Amino acid sequence: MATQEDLDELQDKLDLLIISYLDLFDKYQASRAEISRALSDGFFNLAQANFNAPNRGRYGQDMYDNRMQALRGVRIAVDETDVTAYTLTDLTTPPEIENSEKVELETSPKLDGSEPESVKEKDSGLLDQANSDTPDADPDDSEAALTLANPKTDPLRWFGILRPTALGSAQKNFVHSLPPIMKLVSTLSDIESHEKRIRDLRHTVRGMRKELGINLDDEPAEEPAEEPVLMPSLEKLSISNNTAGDETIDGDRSEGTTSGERPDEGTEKVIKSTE
Amino acid sequence: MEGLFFNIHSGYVEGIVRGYRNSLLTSSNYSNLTQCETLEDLKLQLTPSYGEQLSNVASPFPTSTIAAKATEKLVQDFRYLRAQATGALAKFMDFLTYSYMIDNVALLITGTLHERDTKDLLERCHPLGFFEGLPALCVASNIEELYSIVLVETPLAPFFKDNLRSADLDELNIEIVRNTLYKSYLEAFHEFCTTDPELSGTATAELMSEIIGFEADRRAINITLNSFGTELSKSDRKKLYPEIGKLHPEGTLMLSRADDPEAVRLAIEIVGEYRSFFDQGGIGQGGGGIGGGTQKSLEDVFYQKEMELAKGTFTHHFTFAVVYAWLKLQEQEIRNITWIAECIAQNQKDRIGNYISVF
Repeated sequence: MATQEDLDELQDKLDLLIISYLDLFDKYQASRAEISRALSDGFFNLAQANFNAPNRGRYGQDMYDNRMQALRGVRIAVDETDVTAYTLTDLTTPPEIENSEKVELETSPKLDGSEPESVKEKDSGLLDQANSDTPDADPDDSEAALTLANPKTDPLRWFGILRPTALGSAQKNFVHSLPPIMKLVSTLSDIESHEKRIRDLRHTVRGMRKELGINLDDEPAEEPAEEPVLMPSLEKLSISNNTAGDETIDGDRSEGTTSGERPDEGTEKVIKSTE
Repeated sequence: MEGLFFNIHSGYVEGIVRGYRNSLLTSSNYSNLTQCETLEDLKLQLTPSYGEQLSNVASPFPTSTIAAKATEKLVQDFRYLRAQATGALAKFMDFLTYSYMIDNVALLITGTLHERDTKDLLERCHPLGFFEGLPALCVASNIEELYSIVLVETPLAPFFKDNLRSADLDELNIEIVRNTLYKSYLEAFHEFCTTDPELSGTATAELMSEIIGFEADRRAINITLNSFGTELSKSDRKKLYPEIGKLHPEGTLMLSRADDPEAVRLAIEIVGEYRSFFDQGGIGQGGGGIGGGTQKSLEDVFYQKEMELAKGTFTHHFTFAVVYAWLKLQEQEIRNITWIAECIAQNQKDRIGNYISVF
């Protein structure tokens, strides 16, 4: 038999969950901003390199190497709460990846359609380690994956030895957009799991209130979103400079965050908006 | 005296070039271009100059299309001029195409090294640098073969004379081949302009000597700045410096010993006008560094100077240098348009004014 104390405890738990849920949105937006900054700086540096190119011709896919191998991969680990953690790994130090299946991620082309320079950096091998027992991303790992063990494999060499420094800056920008992308997808997975838990908890709380005979007038008449909430799919989050995409996703999120002053209402809205 | 006979052979070409020069975009054109909100607007603004080439471009189009179409126009105009040219002017214009050939050779052998499809690569070659043996370049696996199989029958053969070594073609060696070819090319072009019986002592010799010297210095400085942190050794680097220009020999000797941008600054300070370049360009940014706001990179300052030299040639009469100047101005115009298009496409208007315009 449920008591008022049980209910209060559950409601406190729900509040805490919602607070951490909102924190996740903050993290999400920060990662988004970081990615946008890195990519826009990267493309701009690329334009600068083309403007200053000492030899005619554009730095782009004309100079790509067909023998290209992915230099960085993604390690995917799922923990017991169904949260998936994505970590960047360096594929140039091979032993642990021998048995893994490599899949190339799609990279959306730039809006203006010119050569997606970033492809060389972004073609990550996808490393499936679903049963890994290290679910938490180690930030040091990601940083280490950004520096190449063997400079001979540096794709920058495709563009000649004496290339403008702006091209190097562009590469750095693109490479540095990778850790926030990993953070972003991990956060999204966390958000998804939070939403599920909040929904379950709300359901329990409502049941308990009914049982205790508490007036349900302040509750919405209908139960929102019974079916699983659809998160923005990975394609939508693909590495792209598409600002339209950014706006859609950010728009959804910020709605939830800003209207979250009263936690209950806030969640309601978020869940609705992601339906 | 020279004016008495110049027009018999080359007057028409000079007249046409001056006409071309008048159709180059001016500052007011550029300020209109920078006001554009979309690439479609930009295309509309470019109609007076590039209407014919851009008319069939369907939207949306990438910025590279604008560059490609503008280059098409350049090639068309150049070929028309070349068809009219005779005697020394024809040879002079051939020299202009050699630099494109060198770029094409580098593009093709790099592509072959990277196992790219030859057909694709040939399409990407600059049309002005196309020559008969170009597709055969793909068979070469080392520098000696490259020379003996292909380049020996091309106009580039003389530039190879002192640079033969039987090294494999890897990225480093391709870079060395490209730069040594360019060095020999600049020296040969300089020699042609100053010693050819039809040209020595004329305004052409004087103007071209200055322009080619400047180009040589610029290359030496760029090579040095871009070589920091690469595997290019100092002794190899030294061989890439052209032996002409204001920096040769003391400046290039100092450049060959430079380890950082500060040493480059010291080396080029022996030439008064270059000293101010470094002050304007901001040291430590290497080449093409990204500063904030309207900060110019060293390359921008060099391009600005090059454009001013080119503009200056039009104050002289009876000279071939105007052809060279027009080609450079037109190339810069294409770079400017691409830059503006790039800024519009990426919605980064704060640095859209970094184009280089001298008219």
